Amino acid sequence: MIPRYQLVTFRVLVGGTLLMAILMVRGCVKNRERIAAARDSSPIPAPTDIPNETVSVAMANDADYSILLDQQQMPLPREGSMRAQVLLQRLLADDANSASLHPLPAVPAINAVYFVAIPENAGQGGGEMGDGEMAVIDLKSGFVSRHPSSIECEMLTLESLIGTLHANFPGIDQVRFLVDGKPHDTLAGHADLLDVYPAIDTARYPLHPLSRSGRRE
Amino acid sequence: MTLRPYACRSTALLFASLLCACQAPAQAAKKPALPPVNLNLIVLDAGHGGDDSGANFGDLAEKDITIAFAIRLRPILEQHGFTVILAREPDPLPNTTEDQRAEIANRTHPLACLLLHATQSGHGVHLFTSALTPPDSRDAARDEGRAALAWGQAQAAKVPQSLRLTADLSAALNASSLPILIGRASVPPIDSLTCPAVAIELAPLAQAVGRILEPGDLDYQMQVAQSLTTGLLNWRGHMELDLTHALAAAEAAAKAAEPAKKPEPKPKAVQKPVPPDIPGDAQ
Repeated sequence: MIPRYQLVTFRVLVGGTLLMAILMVRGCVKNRERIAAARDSSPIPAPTDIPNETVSVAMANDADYSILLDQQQMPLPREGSMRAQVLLQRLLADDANSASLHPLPAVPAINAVYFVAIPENAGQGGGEMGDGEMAVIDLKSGFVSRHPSSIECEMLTLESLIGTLHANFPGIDQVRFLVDGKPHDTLAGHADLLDVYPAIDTARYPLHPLSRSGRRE
Repeated sequence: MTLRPYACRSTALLFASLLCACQAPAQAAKKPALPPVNLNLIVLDAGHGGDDSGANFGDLAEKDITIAFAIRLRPILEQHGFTVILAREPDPLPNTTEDQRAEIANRTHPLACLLLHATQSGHGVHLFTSALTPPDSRDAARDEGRAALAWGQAQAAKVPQSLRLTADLSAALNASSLPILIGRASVPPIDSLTCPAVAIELAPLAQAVGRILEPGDLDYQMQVAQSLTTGLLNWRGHMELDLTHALAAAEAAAKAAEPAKKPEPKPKAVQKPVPPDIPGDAQ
């Protein structure tokens, strides 16, 4: 037989539990309503009407180690380096789709793209700016650390980025890569990121870094 | 110890090419020197090593898979008369840098240098040749007298040979029903090698029964090793043929140049002009 004082204690505990559960649910509902009320859905930037335009995108294919130039429609900003950044982000975001022929990690990939003038007599102490331009692609370390480690996959990523830049920015002569603003040795163990690459049509020509005498000594 | 016939022939060709390259300067200037090549030597560069682990395969690292593959490939090659040099020893032995590995290969003039890698993406065996553009004949003629090559472009002159080596290896892999993928990629240190070089990347192999062989699988590695050995034997045959033709051409050129080296016949002695008879002198 259960003593009376134990029955009373049990009922008190059950009642307390139910009361706390009701209070917690009510608190959650109130909190949710408060957050929803605080969310400002009013537009901050002025709406822009940027028309779609046709761009060439160098699509990589892991199955046959190839690059294919494809035409796509997308809205792009007008400013050069921002335009390149949006274009390359879109390219890598497409590769992050599960149906992609060149699957890449679904994480933000690019910090920024900069266009800089190539100094004349680069590497020989020349300081004057020449006619050519270099695109500096600053990759995110999160993307680099998750990129598949493979000669094929890494080279195709570089060829895809460089081929897309070449097709849409004919003034770009050279491309180099940074990771979080700093030089980095390889993409994921194989493709060299320290060297400068020529901006070429990677769908037709094999990609090879420009020689930099003295770097490896 | 007896030398096998192909070893004798290869050694003879090697010495012949060296002899041809070391002939008298006057002759060397007239006929092209044959590059020295050790027809029985293979350099295996197991990718990564030391602090550089490469790709991760669960408990295994790419560096462990590549060195295991190199160690399994070596005795098979040696059974067929090849001498094998490993450009990297298993950890924890002191690791060699990529430049040091290229230097090992460049000093020994091997028949081929195979750079071994492994990956979890893709399918089958991937073969990569340097993406450097081979110099055209005019550049080659211009650079013939240059003593130094740019370190990062040393492979350029060997790209045609590397492509032929890739063709031989891919034919052997195809004959073993192994899926292959061929491409051009300048993965270090391939551009600094002065010998025919191919980067070989093992990717997972899907079998008909639904089983997938990982690059670290013993059976898979042995199957690839047998095919590579067959390909290298074919490649050695092609190189022997090339050297034989080159030697014959050099000898023909030497023979053709011989008559020109004979001293030209001396012109007949010019007779001294006979002084005209002067009637008064005889007296």
